[in-house]
Amino acid sequence: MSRLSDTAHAVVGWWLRPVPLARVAVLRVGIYLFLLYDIFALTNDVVPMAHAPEFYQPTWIGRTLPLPEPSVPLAQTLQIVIVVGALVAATGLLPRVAGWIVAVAYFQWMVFSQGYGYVSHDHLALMVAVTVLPTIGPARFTERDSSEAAGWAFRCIQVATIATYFASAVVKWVRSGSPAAWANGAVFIWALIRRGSDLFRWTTDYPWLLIIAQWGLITIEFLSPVVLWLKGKALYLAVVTFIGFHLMTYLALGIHFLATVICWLAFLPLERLVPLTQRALSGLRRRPPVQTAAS
Amino acid sequence: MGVGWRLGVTAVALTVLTFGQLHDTNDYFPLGSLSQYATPRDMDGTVRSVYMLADTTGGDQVRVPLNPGGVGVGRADIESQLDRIVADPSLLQGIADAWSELHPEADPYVRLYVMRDTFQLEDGLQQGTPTTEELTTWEVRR
Repeated sequence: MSRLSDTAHAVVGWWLRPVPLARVAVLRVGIYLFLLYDIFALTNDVVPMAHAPEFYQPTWIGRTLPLPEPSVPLAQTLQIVIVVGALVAATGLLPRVAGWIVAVAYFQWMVFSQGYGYVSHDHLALMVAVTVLPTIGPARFTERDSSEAAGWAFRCIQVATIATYFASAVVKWVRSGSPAAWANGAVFIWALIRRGSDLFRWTTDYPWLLIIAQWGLITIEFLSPVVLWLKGKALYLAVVTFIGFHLMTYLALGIHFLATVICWLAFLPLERLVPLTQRALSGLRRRPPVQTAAS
Repeated sequence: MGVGWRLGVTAVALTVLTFGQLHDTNDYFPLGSLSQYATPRDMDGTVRSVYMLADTTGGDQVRVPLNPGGVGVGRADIESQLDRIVADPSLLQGIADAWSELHPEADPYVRLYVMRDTFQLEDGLQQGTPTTEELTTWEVRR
């Protein structure tokens, strides 16, 4: 019985392991500013697709909740709400109110963006981040305390990031019958023929090379949960490995998964950026502007 | 701090995400299946690629830009709704309307074609040039 309660204790402790509030403040800047990039550069199809509403086929959330149909004025209103809300939330002002307004508007935005048949798979962790960040409450850049509320939110973002890889390996297994059936197949060849860049198109002449790459990918996807327990250099190496994978798929196929990449920030000691930024700012302030000509 | 609801929400979300994978469905978005490139492909199979062409009022035949900067709707959206479009090509009117509304300065489309290239693989190597089919077409109503 006591062993059971020890285990439960350890599990709860893992989900709530305190995280410095200064880290929260920095991550908030990263996530909320990224949302602006997202709605104007990545999921920027919401306004143009509102011109073709006959193709709107919402997923379960869109059919079940009493959500509005897409329209150009509504899409533009969501844009304004997300921009203003994200800028306020990024500063740390009104973290709960601004955060929840952004979360609701962004979810509606994404239900539209993903409601035209194709559903992309790079936004899981970002949508989790937008949902959990408002639960943390106030967190200043200079704060020295840690909090369990922040710990839970960060753990959720980390688990969602890892799930993006691990679950994709599980679906490969589900669809193919076995991991080997997927890895020995022609998926990369298929992808490269359909949308390969000139830089990587030559690889389709060497199917064995792509099979090795497929084994490499499915292996790191299945091993990805290990990252949740890594520390220090091993953790940094893992982060570089996964981001390197996204860089490769971007160069080869034009698919970058930036919405997932940004969430890798939740694994890093972001609070260390605060003194660096403070020093850089005070250095700028102390140094007078450089004279352009000898006067 | 509320520990109970936090762990409860986490458990529900992880359960939905798990079922999303096992049922292999996108419908539970944002907790649906992470099925990008999960479909196995046969080394001796075919590779199909769908695209759209359009005749314009200027008399040109152009490739329809299936992206946010073009007609909004993406190629993957067209591919996933292909059966629906072939069964009811009048849906394509929406593509023509979107093009005219988003690019009022450009020549409007007068006819749309949904095309498919099929490449044959053998031991993973592409054989010859692709075959091209016209899956459906639609005369745009003005």
